[in-house]
Amino acid sequence: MPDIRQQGVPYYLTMEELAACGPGAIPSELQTDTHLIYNSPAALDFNSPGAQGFGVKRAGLSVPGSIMLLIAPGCCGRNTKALQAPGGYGERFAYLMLTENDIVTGKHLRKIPAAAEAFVKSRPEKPTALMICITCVDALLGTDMERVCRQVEARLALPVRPCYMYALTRESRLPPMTAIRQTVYSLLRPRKKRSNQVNLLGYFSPLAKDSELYALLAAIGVRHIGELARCRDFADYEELAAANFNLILDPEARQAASWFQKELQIPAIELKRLYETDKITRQYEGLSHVLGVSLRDQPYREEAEAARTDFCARYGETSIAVGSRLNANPFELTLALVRAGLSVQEVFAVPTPADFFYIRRLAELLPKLRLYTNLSPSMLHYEETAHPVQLALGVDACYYHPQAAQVPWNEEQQPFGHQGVRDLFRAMSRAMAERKQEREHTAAAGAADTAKGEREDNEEKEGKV
Amino acid sequence: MKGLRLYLPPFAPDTSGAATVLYPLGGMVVIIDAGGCAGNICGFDEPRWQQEGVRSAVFSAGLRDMDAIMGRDDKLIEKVRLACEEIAPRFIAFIGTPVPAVIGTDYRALVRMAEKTTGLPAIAVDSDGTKLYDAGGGKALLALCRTFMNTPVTGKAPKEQMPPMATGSAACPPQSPAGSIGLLGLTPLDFTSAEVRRLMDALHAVGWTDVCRYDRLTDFTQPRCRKNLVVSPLGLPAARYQAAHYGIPYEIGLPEPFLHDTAAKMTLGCQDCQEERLLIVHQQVLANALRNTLRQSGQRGSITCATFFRQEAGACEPGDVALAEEDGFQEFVADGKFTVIIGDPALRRALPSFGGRFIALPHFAVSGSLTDAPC
Repeated sequence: MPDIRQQGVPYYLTMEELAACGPGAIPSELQTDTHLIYNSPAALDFNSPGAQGFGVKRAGLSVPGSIMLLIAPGCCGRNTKALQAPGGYGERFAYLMLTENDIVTGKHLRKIPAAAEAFVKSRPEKPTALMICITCVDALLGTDMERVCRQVEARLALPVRPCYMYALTRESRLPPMTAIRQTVYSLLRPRKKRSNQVNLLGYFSPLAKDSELYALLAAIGVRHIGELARCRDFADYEELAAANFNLILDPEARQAASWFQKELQIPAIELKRLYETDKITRQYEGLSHVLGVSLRDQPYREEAEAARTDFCARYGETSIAVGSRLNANPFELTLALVRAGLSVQEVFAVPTPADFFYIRRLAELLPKLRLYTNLSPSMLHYEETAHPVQLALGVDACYYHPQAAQVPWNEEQQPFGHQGVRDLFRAMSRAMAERKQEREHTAAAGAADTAKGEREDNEEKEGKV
Repeated sequence: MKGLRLYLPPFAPDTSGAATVLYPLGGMVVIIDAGGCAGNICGFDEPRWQQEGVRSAVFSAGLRDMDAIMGRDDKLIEKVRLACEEIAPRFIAFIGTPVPAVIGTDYRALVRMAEKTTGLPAIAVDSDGTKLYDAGGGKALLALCRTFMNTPVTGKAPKEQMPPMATGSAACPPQSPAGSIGLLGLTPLDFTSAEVRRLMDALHAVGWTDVCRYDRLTDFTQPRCRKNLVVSPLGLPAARYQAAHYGIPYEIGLPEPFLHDTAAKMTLGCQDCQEERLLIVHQQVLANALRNTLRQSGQRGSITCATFFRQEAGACEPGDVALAEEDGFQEFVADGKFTVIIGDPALRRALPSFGGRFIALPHFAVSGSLTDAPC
């Protein structure tokens, strides 16, 4: 099946070609370990999740009052500087930088307890926990960091946890971002349950305040909603262990949910972030059924559909590019847009077998829709002028389409449910209106310049005459 | 404690130094990593990606655990071959990271395999992420000289004809008009694009009509410089190589007008006070040049230069220091009783008890930032 590499042409597949391949035969260009990975800003989330957004380092500091010691060669901690900007994580990071000798012999392991002690003592307040972050070097050395953490814990009388920033194990059973989601809850201890408490698992930043999920849960008697990102202090964090059940909002939190089930006897239900309103309603119906309650999402759905209808009425002919560096599954979002009658021209994403549910639907509805991958070396040749669109969704699509109206849609506050649909379409409308205004402004300025030039020409001619 | 940083961030590593030299040359740059090292370069240490939108064929090898454990160099070479079907690089460059350092990758073998498979020239930089950008950048420049400057221009120069490694006297006007000067060590990790423009202007002003920045492959394949100017320690190994093998003399320094504005903006208070004790912390060439400019502008107090990066003994004055550790830096400042420190704002954090004036002189290789704001 299509795996045609052409000199000077960005690699792409149409949805019908991809659907024909099937989940078991995804072309090697669309796999992540069969080719070199293009190191462009569009691929940053893949290459280095910590460069922007949440990577292991930032995620590890989600526990309130915790600090992190990064044990690594200097190159691994370099971009952490960006997190130390004013208002950021400041003094919550320290580094034990490894030498060439260390990375070959593992001698650095003996220095960790003393370094950890110096770090903890240097803080004005005693931290609630120390996270020790290690990287590919220790993955290859086979370091038993659990053991080292126990040593440090005994020395400092402080909870110490390992955070594994093992990029090498990205496609393993327990990838780094899955493991860290479990680690950040591992300080919880069993406590008395509260029947009216639910935890939201999956995000390191809070859900949008106006997501209907809060209102729907409140309507069925949930009085306490636990979210890691909304814990103001360690006492708040410890309350997470009192939940009656967890809602998993990101599949990468499944491992953490299993830990909750095993260690704290807290069961979980998984919800997906969707942009098709009928599917959102159906998901809430499923949740209602499981909980034995009634969740009325109709008003929120109407609001979301009104925003969608408004966009489609004003900008229905807009050509759109959808990226994958955004708060959505790019295939599900594309399907939602296509089903709304919008013209999606291209998608920038790497498909997984699980995405074929959406890919098959897209192949039926829009078989010629092109799929590009940010990771392909051939994307070096991608030129906006050859593939112009009017609206780009996602940071990567915006990177490739600087001339289009842009909606990065990767804000830290996480959209969810009908609120996400409503706000996305409103953001799309705003971006289109702003771009139109800019164009009109530019055109007016251009016309004024031309008129001025003509006037000056005429005056000059008249003067000469 | 060796390696412990409680306040200072890790500085630009050797991997970034190598990548920054290779970035504009039109080669295929393959960072032998799992993604994180490449991401650090793209997302942090390469302003040309983010701010200037200049594309380059910089790739991650996309290694996985079993690739590293089994040492699958053949798989990496196959990835390079496949990429060459899609893009047409002028050469292949491998940049090492901690992963190949741990597993002991044979770079020479990798280069030979790449050359045989693709028919293109290849180089490798054995960086390992534990050293600093000047080490990696220096190795990359040297590898480029060794590989592409294969025709000696004038033969080996006798040692006595080589210029002394003077500082401050840099960029003396050429003896005859229309001379070409090469700038070694001119990368975004040391110089902003505005500074590069100022540097060009300063060189043109003193008579150099053609300035070679070693940012095109032809700068190596068709060397034309009568002389090289080493503007950061990163350029020193290549300058020495060119001098020894091609008879191209070199100087270390920056043209005098380059720092006039910078120095003028630094209101250092009492210029005539001999009690004023200044410390400049930067890369050695710029620090030395600033010291000279300040002295010429009448600064009479003592001026000490310190650097966390490569320090050339021949370009030091008595009292200048090479810094290695954070606590060493703190002790040096405390013992030195400095009244003014000039350096990147990120350094300020490590000196909470410093009571003098701190004047910001941003250095991208230190903070990854070009602003004067405190970090």
